[in-house]
Amino acid sequence: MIEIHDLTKVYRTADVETSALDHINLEIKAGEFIAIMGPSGCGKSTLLNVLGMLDSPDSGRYAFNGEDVAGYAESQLADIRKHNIGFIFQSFNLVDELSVADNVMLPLLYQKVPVKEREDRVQAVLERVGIAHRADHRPQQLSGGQQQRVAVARAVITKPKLILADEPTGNLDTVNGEEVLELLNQLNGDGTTIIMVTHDQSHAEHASRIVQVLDGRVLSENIVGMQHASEARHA
Amino acid sequence: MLRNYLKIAWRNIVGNPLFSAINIIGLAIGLACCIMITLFVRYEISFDKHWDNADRTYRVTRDFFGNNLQLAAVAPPIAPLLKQDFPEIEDIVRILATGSITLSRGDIRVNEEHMVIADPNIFEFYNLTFVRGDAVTALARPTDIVMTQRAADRYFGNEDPIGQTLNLMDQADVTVTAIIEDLPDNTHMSFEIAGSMAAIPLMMGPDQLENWGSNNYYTYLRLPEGYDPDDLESRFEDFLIKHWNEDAPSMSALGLQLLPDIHLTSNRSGEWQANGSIAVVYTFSAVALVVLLIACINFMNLTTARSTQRAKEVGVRKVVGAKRSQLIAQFMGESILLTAFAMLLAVALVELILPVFAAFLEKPLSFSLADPTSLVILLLGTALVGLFAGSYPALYLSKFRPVEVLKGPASGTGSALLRKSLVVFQFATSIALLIATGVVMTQMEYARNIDLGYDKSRNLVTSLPFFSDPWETFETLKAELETHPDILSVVYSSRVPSMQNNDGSGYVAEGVQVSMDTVQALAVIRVDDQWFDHYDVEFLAGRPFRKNELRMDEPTEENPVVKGAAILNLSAARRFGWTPEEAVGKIIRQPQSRELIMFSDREIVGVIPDIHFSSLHNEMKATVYTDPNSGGQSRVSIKLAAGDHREAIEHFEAVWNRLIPNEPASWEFLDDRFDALYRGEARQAQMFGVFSAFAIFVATLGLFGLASFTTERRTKEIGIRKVMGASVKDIVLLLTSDFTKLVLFANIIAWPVAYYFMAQWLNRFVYKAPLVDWAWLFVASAVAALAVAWLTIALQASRAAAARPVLALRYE
Repeated sequence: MIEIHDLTKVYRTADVETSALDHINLEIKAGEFIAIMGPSGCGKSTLLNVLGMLDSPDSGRYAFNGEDVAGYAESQLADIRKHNIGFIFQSFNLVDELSVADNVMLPLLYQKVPVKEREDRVQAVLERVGIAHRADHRPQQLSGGQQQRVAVARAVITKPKLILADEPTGNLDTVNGEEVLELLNQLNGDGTTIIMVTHDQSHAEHASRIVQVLDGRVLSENIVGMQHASEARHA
Repeated sequence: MLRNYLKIAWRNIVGNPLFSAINIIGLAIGLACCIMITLFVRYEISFDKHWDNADRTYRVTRDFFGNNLQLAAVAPPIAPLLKQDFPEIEDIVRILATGSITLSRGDIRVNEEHMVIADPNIFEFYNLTFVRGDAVTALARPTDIVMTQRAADRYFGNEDPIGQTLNLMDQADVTVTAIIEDLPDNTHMSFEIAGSMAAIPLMMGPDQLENWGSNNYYTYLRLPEGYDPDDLESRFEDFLIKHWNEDAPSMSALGLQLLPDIHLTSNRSGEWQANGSIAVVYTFSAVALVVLLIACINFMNLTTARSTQRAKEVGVRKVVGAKRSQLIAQFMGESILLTAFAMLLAVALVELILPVFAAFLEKPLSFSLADPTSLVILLLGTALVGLFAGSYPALYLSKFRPVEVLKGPASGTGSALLRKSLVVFQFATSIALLIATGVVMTQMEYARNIDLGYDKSRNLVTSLPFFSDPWETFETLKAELETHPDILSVVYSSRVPSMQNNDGSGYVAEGVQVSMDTVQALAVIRVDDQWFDHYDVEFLAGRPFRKNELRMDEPTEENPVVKGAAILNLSAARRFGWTPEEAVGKIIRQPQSRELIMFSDREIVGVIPDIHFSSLHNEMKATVYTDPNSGGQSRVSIKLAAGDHREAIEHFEAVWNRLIPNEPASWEFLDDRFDALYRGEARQAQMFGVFSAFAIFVATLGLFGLASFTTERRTKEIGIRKVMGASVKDIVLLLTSDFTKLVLFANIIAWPVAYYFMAQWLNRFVYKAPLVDWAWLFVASAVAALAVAWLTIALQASRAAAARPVLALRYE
């Protein structure tokens, strides 16, 4: 599904040049659950942003479903993003002025989905994540765990092939964090490819493969026990 | 999608009440100013456009080069001769404004100020609508009159006026033959009663309509469609040579003015009534737009300054697939929605203020939402202003990249340089407006207090009736009036100060051959022997007239040269190359016949300084003061003692009513006449003042909003500084210093701009307030703007500075 080859991203200021990604090579197959780990500032979030086409590499090749997107313009990336990728953020990033239902519906508006179908799909996905009873509430009226469920709902409503989760449990307590991970497992079990950045080793072991990143480079890739992967796929 | 946008737009407006209020109020004031000025402009530019074929109707004008006279009216023989010589002229009409005329019916006696004498085709020419009667019979006889409905109601109420008679000046009966609809307000003409041109020979002599010297007839002609008026104008020179004088090209010229252009662009001598000014229209349009622009800048500044609050939303929308164009559309929509609220408030403000504004301008301005044109303009205005104000914020906000804004609080808040530039622009325009107001007021004060060369205080002025023997009546009036202890002096003149003087004649020095090169065109004012003393005019040389110099015969064939006296002003003496002392005793000769065989020779008995007889817009003319003579306009000036004038005025009215029972007594104070000369400018000064206040207020609102936001952003910094030992004063100075520099810098732009435009405006006056009188205004305006800005910011800053540090440090 994803192939990156010799990918580089450099941040430049007047005084300093930082290689956030340094000639990275990585391949991700459809249906995988990948965890990316590494210390702060190692480039994992940058890698996630590039994979999610929120940022563009300075050099290298990035093929998404066989299409080289590295040199695409923002409008082309936006098109691919909205049809293929869902995002979950550490700080939830819900729109405070919109209700839970409206937040979840947002991606469907940009896909010009008809009104009735939008409402049905929102209802369905809210029920799936267990937050339908709060559909008319505003984000600031929900707990952290509830907000992240809403964010998950928003990420999956367009039935993306790929979900990118940047420290999805970073602002949650243990119980809520586990609940969110359980949702991700379910999604992966349905065939959605998941790439998750995390600091937490125990959370990372929910994935099928852990990619260690250090100083902008892939340090190692470890396959987590085949049994775990198999159980996740058949759940 | 639209519902989503509307929902979030509404919640943003409601969720930020302070900033929403600042934007809505600021935009509402700007929009209200624009609406009111638009109504004023629409009224002003509508003048005379409603007449049929106005686009090919012209007024004939006349210029005299000798004394630089530009007249709105021409001599009566010109119209029929033009029609004869230029058959392409479709139609031509003359209208003579009679001035004050008394009409009476039984006990009803009215001094009519709006009566005219006109050619009978006036109704067809202007397509005036008849309520009763018709154009064919309306002015068929010399004694026929036509009235407007308003005039008819004054005399007849519900009675049928047709066939009824009225008495004119207690001298003749006139018959009402038709009633026409009232003329609209938006026309440079003004009449309520029209008499027949056929009456002129009977009233003023059989040759009056052949009199080339009586340039009092407004003359209008209509050209065929597509006809170039320049073509006709180019043939006027030959026309004057043929019919008037072979030397016409060096003496006088005719011209054409397009009818709809008269109101805003014509300022000739003898205009029907005071016209408007295209310069005023442009100026106030520009000022209203400036106020609106300041409000739009507020919106731009406040929205971009607070962009961090929308950054996350922009990031999320982009992540889920929104294109930049969709985000731009969303923010533009929000801006239009806010502007719509502002427009509602603006309409309410206009409804409230318009009656006062219209009364102040003395114009019948009206505004109705039921008018489809007004509604369309309001909707378009809302969209345009919303798009303009929202353009920069939309472009800026939609530029945010998700990767920059979704990880944490966005650090950038837009181009600080652009925002500062906009604040500088707002204050620069406000300061320039303040300076302009001050300069206009200074010039008005200068005009009120300038040494005119005479004393106009405590002077009542009145006009003697047109058809009476003015000198005899005057002498009796004077003798009776001066019996009252509060009436110090009564004098006679053809004009009183403040009046435009179109009387003039040509003179040569004795011994000099009369020719085009030697004749000096001088303005003429006829005065009695006490006039100069009455007005406290000092003599540079010589003396006033003596009693025996007040009557001068007309030259005849038997006695072709008659002698009299004259007094020159300094400019007139210089025309002849004399000093004041040299002029006394010299003779100036006035040709009284075209064949140069009859003359009036006048000995110069005195020379006075040039005095400001009319407004400071006009140069003081070279003037000769002559004996009163009989005929022509006759004015009386009455000097009152200091103190309560009521008894003196009552005495005047009693004497007048006894001596001139057929004419109602009317009078005015000379000071009021002078004030009226500058009423237009005084009004402009007041409007400038009001608009300046609006501009400063809106700019200050914006500064308040920005200061609020800046203070909020720096809450943590303020807390830390206070923990480190900063006092309240230190914090206030810290927060105010940036804005203070901007306002000070705004003066660097405002001063030269204001100077340039006000220097241009002052050039309209021949006599203007010296620079030293208004230079201080620049500093005063700067101080005023700084004080207002500083107070606004200091209020915010001191509140933040007084808060407990621990609250600030917990802020995040």
